[in-house]
Amino acid sequence: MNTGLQTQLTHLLERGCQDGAFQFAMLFTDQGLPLAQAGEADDGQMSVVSVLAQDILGRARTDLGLVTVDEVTVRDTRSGIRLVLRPISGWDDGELLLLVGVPGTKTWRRVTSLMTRELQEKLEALSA
Amino acid sequence: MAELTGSLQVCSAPSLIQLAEWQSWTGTLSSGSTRIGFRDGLPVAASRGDHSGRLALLEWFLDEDGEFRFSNEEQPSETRPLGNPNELVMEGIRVADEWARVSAKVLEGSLPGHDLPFGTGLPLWQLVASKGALRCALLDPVSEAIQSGQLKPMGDDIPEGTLPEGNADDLLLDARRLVRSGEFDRAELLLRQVLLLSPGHPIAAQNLRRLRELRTR
Repeated sequence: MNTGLQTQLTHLLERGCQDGAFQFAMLFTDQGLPLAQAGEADDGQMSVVSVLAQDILGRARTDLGLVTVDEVTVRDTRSGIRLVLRPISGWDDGELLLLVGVPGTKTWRRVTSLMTRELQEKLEALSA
Repeated sequence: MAELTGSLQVCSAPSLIQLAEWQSWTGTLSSGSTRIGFRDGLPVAASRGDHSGRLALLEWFLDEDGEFRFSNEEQPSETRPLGNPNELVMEGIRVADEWARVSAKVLEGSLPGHDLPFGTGLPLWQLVASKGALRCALLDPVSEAIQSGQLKPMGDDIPEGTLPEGNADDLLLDARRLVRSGEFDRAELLLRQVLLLSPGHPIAAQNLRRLRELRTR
């Protein structure tokens, strides 16, 4: 079994938050069930955001045929916060969703790509 | 100062109560969170955490291991015995036997007057531990409820010590897989188990909240 998985995932998210200066990072299943989180986030709101983003991803794929969308972002100009969602495949026949809160003018693509790659490797190691 | 120390595995609670009577102890015996005051060989005071009196003393009979220490330095102010030592020993042994009979049972149903979360798939010993309740105080109501059919055993017994706290990760993984396959009832059972094992577990609480949203879709 996978004892310590949540701890490993949490450490990975904490490191990502530190490297990217993100406000928070959360990892969900594609059904909106959280696996781990780091930083400061409103749990209830983030769960809603993950489901919303999953809907957007799903519609982009099925309705628009954009099957390889690998990022969805939502930005609030008043607070300056940008929510970035990155899908990660290979989780129990479904996918995981990495959600990070990016403040102000910070960039996110490089760090979130690194995080998704590391998460992907971890999932592959688990299913091997 | 007279002092006696030892292990309950070597000298059990019934033996110590009898020894206290034979040697006319006056002083205080400490064992874990239990403190028992003796006067002239008779137990006159007992406390265990927030509980006190005869039930706190009887609860101590359910401790199978741990250390004890008796000292005559601290003498109890109480004078009235909690009971006859022989009767207390007999009652303590009965309580221990009864606990051994029912503690591993996984029960469903309800027990009026008690807020134990029966039906969560956890054994009685785990439910009682999660609530910080006195085991000996629940024994008779639980046994009667089983006899009357108010509480019903479900599944296999789970002996004490076989649900280590560290398995929350595995329970969470299993719960998510059950959600994926649409088995919401079983998933909720597992999530509630995690919350009983680790009260306030944030990820388990969030998963439970999300599961309830999925149920209403």
